[in-house]
Amino acid sequence: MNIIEVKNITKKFNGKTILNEINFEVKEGEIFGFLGPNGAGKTTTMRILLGLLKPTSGRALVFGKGLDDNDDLRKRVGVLLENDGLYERLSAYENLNYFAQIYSVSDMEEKIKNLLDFVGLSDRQHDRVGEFSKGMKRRLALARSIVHDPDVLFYDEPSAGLDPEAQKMVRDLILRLAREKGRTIFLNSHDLDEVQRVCSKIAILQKGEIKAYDTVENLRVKFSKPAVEIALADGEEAEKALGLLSSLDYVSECERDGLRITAIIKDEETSTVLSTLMKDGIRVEEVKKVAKSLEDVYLNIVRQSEGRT
Amino acid sequence: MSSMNMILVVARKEIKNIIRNKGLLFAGLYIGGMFGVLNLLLSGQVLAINNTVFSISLPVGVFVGYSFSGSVFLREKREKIIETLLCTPLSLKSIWFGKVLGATIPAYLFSLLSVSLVITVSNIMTRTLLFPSNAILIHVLGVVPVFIASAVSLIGFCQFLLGMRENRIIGFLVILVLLPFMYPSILTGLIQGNVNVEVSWFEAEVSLIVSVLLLALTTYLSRYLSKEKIVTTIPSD
Repeated sequence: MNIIEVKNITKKFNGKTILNEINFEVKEGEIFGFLGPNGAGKTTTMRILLGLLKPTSGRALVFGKGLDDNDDLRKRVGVLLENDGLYERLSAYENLNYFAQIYSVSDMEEKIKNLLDFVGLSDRQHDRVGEFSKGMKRRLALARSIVHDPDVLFYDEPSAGLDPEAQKMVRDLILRLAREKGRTIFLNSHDLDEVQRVCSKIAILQKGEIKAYDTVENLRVKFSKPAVEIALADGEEAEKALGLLSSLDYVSECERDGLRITAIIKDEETSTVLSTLMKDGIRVEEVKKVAKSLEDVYLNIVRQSEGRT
Repeated sequence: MSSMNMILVVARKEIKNIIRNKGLLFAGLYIGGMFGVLNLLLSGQVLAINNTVFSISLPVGVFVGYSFSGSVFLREKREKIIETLLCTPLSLKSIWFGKVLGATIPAYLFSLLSVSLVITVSNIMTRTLLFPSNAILIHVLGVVPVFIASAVSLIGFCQFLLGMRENRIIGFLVILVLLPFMYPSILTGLIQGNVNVEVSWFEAEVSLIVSVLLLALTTYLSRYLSKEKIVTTIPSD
């Protein structure tokens, strides 16, 4: 079942096209990563989905309906936007209490207590949010986003500005919400490592157009170029190997890092690279295929669409 | 929860936020307290309690309301908190009315505080029991809160609708526009070339009609607010 559907959405501001006929779907229980460079149109897409902006054409549906004129449907949606959306003069407890009232949460006291425990802010619950660190505010904002137990969550850079421990907490929370509670999560992020770890499907947006839309694994296969990592015996051998590999037609990129060289090869097997090096008497310690990260895939797509290689 | 309850939830939060803001409280106390008493002492009209109460109750409320609306509307927009609020089940109307109520109630309390101070100081200085006339009481209890609400909603409307640059000057412009409406006799005096603040039933009645009309106008104008207009005028980083 599709929870989120974006159908041919175009958005123009003052004649400038920000989004150009974008399409994607997010299924129930899916963690969907929405990636793209700054100014690609990610925030505009999210705002359209949340009913904050109206598309110039096309439709953005959540649970089959638009959120803009549907107050009740918004009870099923949780958000954590770029800004924490917290009131600095109110305490952590008062902030959660305010939003719990807005969402008409039952068992409010118990829920708030559990959430403050969960995000590790129980001992600071009566302190003003203005006195909190950035990480503490983000954790409280996360608690706020789930105070009403929503079915679908829209997160914009949820772990931005958090320390590694808190980042892990966010990732674990996102995975738990999706896996254990079957929640659907729309994740707008720059953190490719985070997206790689938690998202089942991603879309890459650039200049208002979807450049890629698939599972992380499929995109890796589709957009990665095969690469090999070669370990050499010493620096002299590494220098010789770098010169030789750079001159080969089937090697498109070559990079040396100490005694290791990473080469991106075109349509050739790892064994071909190894035999070429050995023929020249270069002492190779190890050759292995390198799995490309989502970062490589992302950069590949963005560069390709910009006409760079 | 009904929309009235939601309006009250928003209003309560706004009042709490204002009470915790020392800067705003100081501004309110300064305008409400000092302005009222100083006006009374400097004008030498200790006995003219009606004129003083009439002169200060409305501008004190409107100026304090203007100062509070900066926190209630503009600050929430500048800090992008409004975006999260717009994603909740609250309708734009509930948010709007809640905020207007949340800024109006404390501003009106400051206006009442200044009126109370004026009456108290007048009584102490004259050592007699002075009390404002019925027309003035109607003005303070009826006209002042409605007028503050219409001023706050007009300022809030502009602050939500316009960008940050425009908002730097719009508040004062709104107050300048409202000023003649605070005292119908000033307005008619300006037309006739004879400016004089008079305190009469006529003055109270006209003020009440003007404030109700202004409130109706700003409530009507609030229809033109939309989430898109608010969000697209949020300043970018």
